[in-house]
Amino acid sequence: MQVYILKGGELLMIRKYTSVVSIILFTLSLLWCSSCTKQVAPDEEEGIAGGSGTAGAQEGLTEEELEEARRRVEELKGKKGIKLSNIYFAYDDFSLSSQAKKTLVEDAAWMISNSQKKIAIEGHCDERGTEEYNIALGERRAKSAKRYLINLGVKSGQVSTISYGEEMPADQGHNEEAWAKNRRGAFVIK
Amino acid sequence: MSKKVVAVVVLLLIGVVGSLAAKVYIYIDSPATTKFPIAIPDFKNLGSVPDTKKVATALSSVIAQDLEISGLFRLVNPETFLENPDSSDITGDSINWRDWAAIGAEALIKGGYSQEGSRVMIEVRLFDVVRGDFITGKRYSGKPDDLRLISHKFADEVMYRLTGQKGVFQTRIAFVSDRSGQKEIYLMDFDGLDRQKVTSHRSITLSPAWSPDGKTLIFTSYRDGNPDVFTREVLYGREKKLSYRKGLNIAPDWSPDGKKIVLTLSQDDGNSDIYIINLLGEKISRLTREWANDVSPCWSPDGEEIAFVSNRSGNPHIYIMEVKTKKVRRLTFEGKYNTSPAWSPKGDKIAFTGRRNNAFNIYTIYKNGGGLRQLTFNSGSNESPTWSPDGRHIVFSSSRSGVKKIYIMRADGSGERATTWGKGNDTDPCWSPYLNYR
Repeated sequence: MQVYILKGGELLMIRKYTSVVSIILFTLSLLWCSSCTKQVAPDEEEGIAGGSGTAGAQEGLTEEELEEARRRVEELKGKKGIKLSNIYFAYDDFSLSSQAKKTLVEDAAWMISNSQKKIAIEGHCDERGTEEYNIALGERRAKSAKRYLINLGVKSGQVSTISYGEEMPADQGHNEEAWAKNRRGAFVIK
Repeated sequence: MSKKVVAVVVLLLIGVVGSLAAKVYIYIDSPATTKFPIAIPDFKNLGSVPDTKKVATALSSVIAQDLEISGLFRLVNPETFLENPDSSDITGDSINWRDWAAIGAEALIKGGYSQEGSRVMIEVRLFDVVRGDFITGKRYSGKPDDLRLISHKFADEVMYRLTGQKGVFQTRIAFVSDRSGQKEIYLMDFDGLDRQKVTSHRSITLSPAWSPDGKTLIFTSYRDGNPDVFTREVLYGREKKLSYRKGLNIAPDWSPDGKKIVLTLSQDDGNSDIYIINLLGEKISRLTREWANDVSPCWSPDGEEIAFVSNRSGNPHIYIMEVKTKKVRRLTFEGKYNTSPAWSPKGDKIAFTGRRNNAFNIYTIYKNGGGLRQLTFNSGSNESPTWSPDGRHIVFSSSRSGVKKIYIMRADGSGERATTWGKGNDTDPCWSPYLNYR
């Protein structure tokens, strides 16, 4: 197996078995990232509503990353002590941070190891902003988590989603600390 | 539940009145200059009614407060009244007009009440002090519980006679409150009185809206484990689950012709879009397809356009769609967060919630995008505006007191006043249409 990366805009040859898909995903992720910088001003902490809508692509997830994640799920499956944990989001954002993805790997392992248990992913937001808009955002967060879990091998029928917007905060405080705790994808065993 | 008031209309003509050509006393749409001075003495006890002082002031003070909220009237100070209340006449036969003109009144309201069995009889008249003329009069019969409604009815009559425009004093406001421990739908008079709990879903209810005839409420509830849209008859309380598709069924708004509902559905792909459904809950059309979150749709009063919120530009802004062509244009450009559009019944302006520097305030903007105006300042988070049916007032939710309460103000931002109090958070207010059935 040979891998050549030639300089100066020439052909990028990749591993045979991932072939063209990898190029497409990689290019798309570059395009997605470039559209990020157009929309977000330097001092804004808000995220953008991303989503390229391409099948298989999810918030700049490359095939390599996905495979690596799937591998880790396999490793964790059946292990003692794996937990079902919540994930957290940045303000006005529904994309998965690298920390969130790490947590979701363990969540996936747990779910596959407990495939008879039905799980609901709840999308939540902090209290800032309009209730209706936050319900829509919470829905995106829950779906975003579910999509990643399915990519990792969880069966779609095991997971349902629901958004509560800002209606059910985990922390009733009115500060950054409380808000960060409320912007979550919460996993509930039904 | 509102009680039926039997209004016996008796127009009492006093002396030679001739034809009172509809004189315009107040030009309601001209920019606010001086307020119209009106005197409202306590109503007179005409027969045996217990608790007389309370009734006397209750009737006149409700009318006075209504007229004051309108922003068009100045109430002449009762301490300057020259007339002796005990010997005064409420029919107008022997009113000394000079007594009232001398203290600056241009109009005068006089009323009296008596009790007949279990019912209270109220008669009330409006006079033109300058001309010394009777303008209008009514006699009402009702239960003691109906006194406030009767006062509101006459205040509406006064508005109509002096401005040519219907008053909103019999209208109600629907809102959400968690004072019971959970978010339920409540109703209250526009001035905050006669508050009633409407739903008992024991879950989370949100965003109530009214049918154009004011007889049905529509709202979102998590009662069945999913955000679904319900309707509920105001008078009889019958509820119906209207839209309960997978995913979100939220933010319903009733069309002006009463036949359709516009709302946000996300179905199974998590993407919130705007749809129109009929009164059976069946989809009529899908208005948006983009990847963005499209929420909070609101009909224009002529039913031709829908304002809504979309983050298709990267942040939530307000857009307007022409329903027939589905052409969309962007309305708001300033700031990075503009939501909760509410179309004025006059059709010209849209009120909305805008966030600037982490502060939420109520703004209005003309439907062509010009004339952006901020209405609330420096007072907590101010959100969720909706308009009174005459387009002269806005109701909204504010956290200025520390908890969220409902406030009303005039469309120019003046006259802010709280209309809810007590414990809990009160949000999502929606002003009713004219309620002709009261």
